[in-house]
Amino acid sequence: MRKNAIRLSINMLFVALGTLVCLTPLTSFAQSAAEIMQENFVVTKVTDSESESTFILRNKAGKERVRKTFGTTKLKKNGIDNMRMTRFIEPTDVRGMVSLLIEQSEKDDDIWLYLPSMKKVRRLVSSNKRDSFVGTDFSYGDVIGHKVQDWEHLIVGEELIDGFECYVIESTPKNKTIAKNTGYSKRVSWIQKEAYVTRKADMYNLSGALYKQMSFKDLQLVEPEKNRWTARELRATNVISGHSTIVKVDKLKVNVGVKTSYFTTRYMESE
Amino acid sequence: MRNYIELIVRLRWLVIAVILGLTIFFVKNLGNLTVIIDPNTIVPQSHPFVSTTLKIEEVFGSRYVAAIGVTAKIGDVFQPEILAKVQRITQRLSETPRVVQTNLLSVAASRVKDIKGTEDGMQVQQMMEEVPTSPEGLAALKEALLRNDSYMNSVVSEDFKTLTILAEVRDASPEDKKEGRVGFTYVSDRINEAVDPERDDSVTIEVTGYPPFIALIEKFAERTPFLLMIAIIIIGVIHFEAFRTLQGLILPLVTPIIAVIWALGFMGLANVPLDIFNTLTPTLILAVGAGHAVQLLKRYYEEYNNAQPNGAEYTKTKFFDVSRILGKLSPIMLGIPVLWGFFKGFQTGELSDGVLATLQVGSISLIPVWLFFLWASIRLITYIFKPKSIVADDDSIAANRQAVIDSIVKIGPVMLTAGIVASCGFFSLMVFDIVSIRVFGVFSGIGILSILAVEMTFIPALRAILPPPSQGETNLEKEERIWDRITGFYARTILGPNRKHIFSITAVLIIFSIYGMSKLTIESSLKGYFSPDLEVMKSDRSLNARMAGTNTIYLMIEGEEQDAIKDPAVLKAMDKLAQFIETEPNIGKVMSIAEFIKQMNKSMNADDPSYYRIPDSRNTIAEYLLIYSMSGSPGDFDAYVDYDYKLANMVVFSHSDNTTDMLNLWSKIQDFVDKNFPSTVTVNVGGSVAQSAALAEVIVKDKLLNIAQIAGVVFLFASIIFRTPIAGLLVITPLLLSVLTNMGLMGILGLSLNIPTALVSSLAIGIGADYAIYMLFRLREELASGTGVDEAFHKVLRTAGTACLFVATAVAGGYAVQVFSRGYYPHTWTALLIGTAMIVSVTAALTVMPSLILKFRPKFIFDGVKK
Repeated sequence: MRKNAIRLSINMLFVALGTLVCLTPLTSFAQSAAEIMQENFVVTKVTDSESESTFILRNKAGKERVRKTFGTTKLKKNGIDNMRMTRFIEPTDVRGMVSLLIEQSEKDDDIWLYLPSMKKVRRLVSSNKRDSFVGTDFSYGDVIGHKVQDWEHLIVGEELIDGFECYVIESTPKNKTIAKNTGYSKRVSWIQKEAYVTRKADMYNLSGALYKQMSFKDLQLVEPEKNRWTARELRATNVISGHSTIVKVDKLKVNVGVKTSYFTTRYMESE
Repeated sequence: MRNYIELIVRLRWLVIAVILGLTIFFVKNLGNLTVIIDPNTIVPQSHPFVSTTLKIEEVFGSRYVAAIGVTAKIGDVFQPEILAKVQRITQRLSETPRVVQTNLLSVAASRVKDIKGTEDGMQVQQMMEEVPTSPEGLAALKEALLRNDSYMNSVVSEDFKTLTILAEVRDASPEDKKEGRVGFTYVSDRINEAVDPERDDSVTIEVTGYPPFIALIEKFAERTPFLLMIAIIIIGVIHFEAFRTLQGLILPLVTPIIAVIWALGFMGLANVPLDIFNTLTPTLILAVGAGHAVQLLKRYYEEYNNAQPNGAEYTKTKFFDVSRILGKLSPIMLGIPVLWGFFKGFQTGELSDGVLATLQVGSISLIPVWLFFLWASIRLITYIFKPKSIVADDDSIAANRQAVIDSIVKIGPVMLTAGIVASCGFFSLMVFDIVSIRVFGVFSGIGILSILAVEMTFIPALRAILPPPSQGETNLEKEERIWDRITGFYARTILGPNRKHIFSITAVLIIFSIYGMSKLTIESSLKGYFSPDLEVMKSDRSLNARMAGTNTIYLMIEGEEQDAIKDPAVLKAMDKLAQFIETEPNIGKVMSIAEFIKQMNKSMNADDPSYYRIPDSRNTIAEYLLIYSMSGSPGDFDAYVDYDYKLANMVVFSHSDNTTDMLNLWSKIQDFVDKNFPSTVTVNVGGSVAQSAALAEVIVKDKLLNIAQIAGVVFLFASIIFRTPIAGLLVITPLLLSVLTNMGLMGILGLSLNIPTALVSSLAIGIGADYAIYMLFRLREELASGTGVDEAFHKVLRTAGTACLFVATAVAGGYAVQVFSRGYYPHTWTALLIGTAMIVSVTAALTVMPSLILKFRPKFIFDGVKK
């Protein structure tokens, strides 16, 4: 009995090795995981946009905070960082509040805020990439995108998500600092073949436990010539705290020639 | 009755088989018994303190706070090694099950932010994301802590020598229960696992708060079954000394043990859950059961002596009679190891040392006892398998049967009366609201009925099988011992001129008791249960003195609609309330959302101290909250305000966990709220101290009512049975006196009425009435049979009275052991109060009640006297 079990496991080992040998040349001919991730990194970076969105933040008990915003974005010259201007429409007690975020992928972001009740612009220096993006379950890092070269990527399989064929790519930080700055010990992304958009992602915290789950629905190809996509519905759930975020993009216009002058504190005060 | 008992004796083997079968059946059903540990299910959820506590836990996650203090031995805490320790402990705790991760409060916790004003705005950063190593970094951290008033005395002490980590622990969820993450011993062990690796010479680490204290209670509660076992053994030994026979040692214990099993098994069958407040109830069943059994046994010996051919004449025992020698030796040999154990246990303060010493010495000294057992067993086997004549002649066999029958015929009706009266009293508790008291009623009621069932079937059947007592045994039993001397003294006193002294002593006792009761307060302090010498108590004292307080009280501010808390009027009132509370004695600090808003207002205005106040505009407040939520994590304020800003939680740190202090504070807060809060806002109090206050209030009040109700039912039934309310009064006299002196003694000793003491006091009620009933019946019997008044009283005291005294001293002695349960006062209180209750009730039944009878000569007693 025992002997048989050993023989069986040896057989299985050979089968596994055989499969690996067969697969290795295949994957090397196809696109590498890192190349896929590189495509993925830029796929949501639209030239500029105007949108109306609803943020639904929900805690474990199911209580909700709903915010409606009008926002504009414009990609900076580096093609990576966005400038984001967000005007709050709801809730009414913060109506007219404006936030201006100039993304800086290399250092902490600055947020400028216009406080209508005080009629003042104030700067908020916030912490780092791993912290919550304006109170949502997405981190700054999730929104800006994680730098491809900081991570080791591995295709671990292929799966159908919402009917689309996706690569399943596992990314692990190259060093401890990166892990610490992002707050993740591992990311698993489901990236749609050819389109390179993320349809689903799981994040693991530094203790190795599943931390956040994200999904991106209603993806639209908004700039076909550049293969730029926008998700009209974004969801993120913090599995540990039970808190979740849904962002619905109610109205969206892309590549409409948003002026750079919108993204100044003077403009914030003017309205 | 005679026909019935003759049937039992004839069918003795069947009866024994049936009773043992039933017992096995009930043992199997013990598995169905559910045990409630969660006090929430016991206290009426409608009590405002309890409902608030539950709501606060549901919304804010706050419940039981554990505090860990890390104190630098040299210098202050601004040393990289010490900060790193705190960071590691915080990290480990955040991964500990049942610790509410988002509510962790520590210099290294992610929700602890430094809110700082800058030239053109505000900077919100984690207080200590990384441990600073440079002198500048350390200085900056100190500055940041000084800047954020919220964290002074809560995460760092004012002298900067101690850092605290506050971890909030929630109750076990169904998932936790599945994984076995239940109880506070579990939580406490996990916390220690997180802390212990950091202990070294550079720091003192202290752990305190509710979880370690409740874990201690759990640890001490584990002693309870063990102490009950010791109590049973000691009761057996005292009975053995009283009767000097094996039957005297074993049979009075068999009945209550079977009764407890039956009652528990029945409760399992009927789906009645047992709760922690009923862990003392077996004590009551033990005392009552032993009481009945001893009465029957005593009467059995009496009848056996009468039934023997040579009557009650004293026949000299042969010098070498085995039972005589062993009987004389055994109590001493049993006593030595027990005393040695006491001595050892008291010396080291560890109960287990005492037990070990007892066993060590006992294994040698108990040889005569084992021989006695061996001898008795051989005798039993020979007796059962013939030839009987070796052990007993036909005459004594017949006398034995006769004695079994006669004793039941005489005692049976009395036992049934007393038992039914008592069980009715207990069953009447079913009308109570509180589950725990209903369970107490059912448990005790069924226990007593089971006692009656066993005493009326199993015991006579068994006794009919056992060999008749040898001459040596009966002689030993007849020998005068201390108990007989006491009852003899009582008889002489009540019949002599000194009877008036009994009344005056009683009067003095009543006056003292009333005086004591006037000092009695309903008050509970969890930490008051423990000896100040315990390590946890030392940690608590030291941390409590250095920080804002290790006890938390929560104030729940509730508005009528969403965003109510954003109202500047509400926030200003909260701020004023916090300032008011902080001036109260024992209060170290108040943390609330108002403090954070003030801090943000200051920062947004370039750290100008004059802006350290609540802004006047509601929109500004809303904007601040939004800004903060942009910079922190979504959960940063979860401990202080709920998701739709309808509820806020003010965390009050107190140095005292005394419920009286808390209730005083609460009444002041209520006054303050009436005057200062908008009428649309309500303020409620919750948290573990408030919950204890609610528990104490409700349980103590209802326990007192329960005492009164049982007394009432006993009075009623006794009046009906003897057809006069005078009998009712006589029966409840010892019972009332024991309750009264118990309360009086507590008042004089400065003990307060809290849950354990109220529970013990309510046990006293079940015992005194039985003594009185036995005494009254025997008195009537003797007087009716033509015995003269003086002689009747002498005889009643010598027989029924001595039996009462046997049991009372045995039970009191059995529980006296708990005095040695060091460190945990509820055990000491149990020993003291049960002892007092037993002694007072038996003394009252043996002296005060007969004196009253002699003084007032009630008809129902003296009717039968032949003129």
